[in-house]
Amino acid sequence: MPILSVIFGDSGVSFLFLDSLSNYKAHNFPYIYSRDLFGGQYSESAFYSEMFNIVCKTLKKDLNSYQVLIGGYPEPPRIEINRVFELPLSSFIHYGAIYHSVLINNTSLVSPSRCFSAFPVKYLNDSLVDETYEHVRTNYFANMSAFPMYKSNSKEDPALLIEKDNIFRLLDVSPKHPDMEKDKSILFSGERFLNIELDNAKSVEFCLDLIKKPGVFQIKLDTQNLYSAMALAQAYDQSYETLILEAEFTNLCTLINAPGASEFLVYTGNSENKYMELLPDALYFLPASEKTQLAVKMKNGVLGTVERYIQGGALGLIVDTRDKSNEKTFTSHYVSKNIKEWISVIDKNICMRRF
Amino acid sequence: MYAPVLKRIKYLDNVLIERALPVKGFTSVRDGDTVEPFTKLGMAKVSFSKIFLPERIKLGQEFSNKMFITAKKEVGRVGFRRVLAPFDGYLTKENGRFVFQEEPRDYWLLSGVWGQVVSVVKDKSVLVKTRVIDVKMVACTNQNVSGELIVFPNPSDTLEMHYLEKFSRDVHGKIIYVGDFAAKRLVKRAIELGVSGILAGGADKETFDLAKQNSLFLGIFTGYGSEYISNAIFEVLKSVFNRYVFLYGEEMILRIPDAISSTNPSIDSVAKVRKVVEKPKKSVPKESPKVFKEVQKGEKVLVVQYPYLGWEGIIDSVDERSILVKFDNKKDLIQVFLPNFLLVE
Repeated sequence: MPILSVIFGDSGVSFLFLDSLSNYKAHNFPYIYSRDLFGGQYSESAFYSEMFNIVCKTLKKDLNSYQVLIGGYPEPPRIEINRVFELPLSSFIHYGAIYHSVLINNTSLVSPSRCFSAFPVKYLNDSLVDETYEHVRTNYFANMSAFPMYKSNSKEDPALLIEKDNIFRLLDVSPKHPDMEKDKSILFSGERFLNIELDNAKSVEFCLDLIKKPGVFQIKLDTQNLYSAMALAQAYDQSYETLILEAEFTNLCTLINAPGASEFLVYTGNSENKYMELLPDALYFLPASEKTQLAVKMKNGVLGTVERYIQGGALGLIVDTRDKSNEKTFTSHYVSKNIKEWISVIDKNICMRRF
Repeated sequence: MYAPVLKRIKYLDNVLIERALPVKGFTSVRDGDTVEPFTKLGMAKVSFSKIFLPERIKLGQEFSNKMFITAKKEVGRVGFRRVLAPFDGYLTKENGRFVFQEEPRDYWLLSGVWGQVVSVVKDKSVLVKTRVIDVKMVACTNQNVSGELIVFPNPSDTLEMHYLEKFSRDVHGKIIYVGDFAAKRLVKRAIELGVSGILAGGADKETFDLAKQNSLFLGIFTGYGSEYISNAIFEVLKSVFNRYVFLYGEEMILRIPDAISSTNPSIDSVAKVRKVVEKPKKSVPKESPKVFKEVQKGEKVLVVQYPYLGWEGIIDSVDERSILVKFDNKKDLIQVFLPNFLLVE
């Protein structure tokens, strides 16, 4: 029997209709139930039951012909919907064997090594500079809990989007033992990356900041928020393993975290070598398409001598010489002082790529 | 494209409201009685104040089981300091400590609503079936309060303090709608004056925390930091000036009793507002409320996107991922991205 895998997020619900292993359709519904907003009007079950009907109608599916699986963080909601299986998100986030997946929603982050849930109004009393801005910021987070569907976008005050990312920015989502998981790509998924465009410098910077350990990492993006629904299907039936293995996630870049000064040598296929001396505390971009393989050699105080074949991506190769893993220097104060400059460096490189 | 439907103003029939005496007294109505807001439902003798006296107090006279002391008479001394009775009351002892309790006074329980008594718990409480207008708040503090509603005429920031100080005499125990925005200094003053609830379009989170700490009810209809209230909500509030209203913190609603008979002069104004807010009803069979509706041109929306958070407008056009919204007070159309809006009914 076909499967409908449904994941309840912080601000939306993602549906994956699996008619067979190779035939699936996804849909992201961008609203969730809020007791504060809809409490006196209709119940949580009525809300989701009608949402299921609308999604089925939109995709021309018959709900009765699917086995329903539901997942959510920290738990799926307690609703009256017939299902055959339910599981908390943290139990199946690690199912994609070739990925170290990181799921970021409006107010939660789930990775194989950690779960972090931030009810936004907790972030109210940090020391900040300007009192007026403090009010704006405080009200912004309070409104996020009043209107959970609210999604920041780059068109509004960009400072607020950065503030929202700052909830998670100081966390480290890199694998516990990067050397042991060097064949795995880091996959960023969840509502934060749904439908984002690859030229969004704030999102790119956010990904780079979250990976703090020194090492070489291949970064992929799940811009359709498919991963968790696929992983839930796999948790229910192992034969769905191929879904994640064969899914085409966006290849963003290869990131080399090399804190401090480095010497860097790249061999391209045309037997042209490029030598660079990299300064500490900076971001370097090297164009390399997804299909390009580069051989790099690097000498760095922390990484030692590294020789690797690496693949490019939409943004090529990025070498990050900031000491992000040092908690004493990479603090919220340091980040807020420099973040605009880092984002502008990424922006410039994205713009240059267009010409 | 579909979006949830939010009903911010609801007219409800057959709502049960419990009116209870604070302590056991007597009830003066029976099942089936028709009541109006000022109908007396019952009475109890209530002592409103109770003071625990210092442990080191030496009484002026020998203590007997329950001593009556009139106001301003000496109760005793703590060191060289005299302790005077702040009101007429009784001196008693509780767990070895002296307690001075105000003499019980008559407390009349008023109906506060138009309706019919459906049940009476003898000498304790009365259940009244009534008709109400529920107005949904976006956020509020958690307590339940009730009182007379005073509505400021949507004043500017400079005038609202003036209203609070000069024009609204005796605001103690009342609920005040202060305008688009509840400023911190105004809320501070309201706490000093013993106001029991403040309603506004928006307020800063900091002001909210201040109200919470001081057990003042603060409810906002638009959003944190917002300086705007929808016309439909303001029209309802304006029409029920001086009405006895109920604030339910847990459910985040302002419940306004609606007149059932047409003997009250304010009913006409409510009826007028109702006509503005509600579309004419056709005689169709009752359906369960719609949770979602297709987003279409002409629909009313509540915007949840900065800097128009909490504003209401009309959809001008619908795109794949966004809508264009026309606001009453803006010439230009504003682009609002999915899902930063809700449909308003």
